[in-house]
Amino acid sequence: MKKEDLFNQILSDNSDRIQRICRYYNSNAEDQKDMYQEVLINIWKSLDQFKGKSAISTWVYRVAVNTSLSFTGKSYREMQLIINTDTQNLSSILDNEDLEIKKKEEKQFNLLQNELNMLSVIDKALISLMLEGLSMREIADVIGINEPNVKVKIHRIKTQLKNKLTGGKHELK
Amino acid sequence: MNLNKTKNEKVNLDQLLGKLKKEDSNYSNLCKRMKIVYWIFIPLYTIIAFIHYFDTKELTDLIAGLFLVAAFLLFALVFGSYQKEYKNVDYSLPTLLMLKQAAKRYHPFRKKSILILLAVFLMNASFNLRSQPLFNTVESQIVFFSIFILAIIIGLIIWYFKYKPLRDNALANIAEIEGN
Repeated sequence: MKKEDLFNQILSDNSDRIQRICRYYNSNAEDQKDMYQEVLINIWKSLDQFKGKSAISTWVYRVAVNTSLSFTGKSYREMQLIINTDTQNLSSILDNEDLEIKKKEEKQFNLLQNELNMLSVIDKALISLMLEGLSMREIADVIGINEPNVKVKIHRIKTQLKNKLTGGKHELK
Repeated sequence: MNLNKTKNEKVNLDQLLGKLKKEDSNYSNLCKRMKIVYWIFIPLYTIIAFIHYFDTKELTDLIAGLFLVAAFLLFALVFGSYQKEYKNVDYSLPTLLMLKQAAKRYHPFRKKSILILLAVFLMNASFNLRSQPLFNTVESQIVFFSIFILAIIIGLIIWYFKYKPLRDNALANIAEIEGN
């Protein structure tokens, strides 16, 4: 398959995925568009190295996360993780099924958003991949560390977030 | 052709592909052109060095000529290496590996810099070894080392403001990923 054809196919299959990652890191549409283009440029640049050893979605996530880390349009300190209330896997961060009261949920969400933006760049990357619904194995594959290490890190982030949101009243599982 | 459905994120694919191809070739082609120039200079200056030696019968002239050829050879090798590096930029590596490569790339003193230094010193030696040097040796050395030190200082200032923050960030992220 020609490079251009492969590129077009990857784009048509993964466009939404890339756009979601870009939305995690940029609140305004212009920055999202810039990062989206930069991800596409990096996909094109790296396409010759794609050997098909990992799933194409994992490969695309790698390029997107690596681009977000080296995204020239923003400094690391300014980088924010933006989540939406409709983000499918949001509950996976809180692990709290009792959040039924709307107001409380909204307050929790705002607090969560603030706390997420206090996280380091790497922690933000881990959380964004988790929000995308990737398994621990897949996250490990993207970041380049082993699965137990990813589990430890995610657990630490969750504990840290829960502590902040509940004022340290929750029990560690 | 539009890639996206939303109005704000429309990207013209044809335009983008043009940009991508340009990006692909920019640095790599520049280095390739420089490499080709030096590979042309190498046989040319080797012939000139021998012709000059047969004219003057001075061994120092031959050595001076070959030093210049050696400098060109080093430049050709370094540019070839940079061409390969730019051609193979890979953003699909695992994040940790990509960061380690970036930290290495943004190091102010890389192994390749030693080769460039060696090439510059060979050129300097070549100009001064000639039986009929173009300039007074002491004066030329003062000028050479002044320019050399100034070039290093300018290079380090550019590195400090442009690349050091990138390297520091890469190192901090590596430490965070590798720590628990």
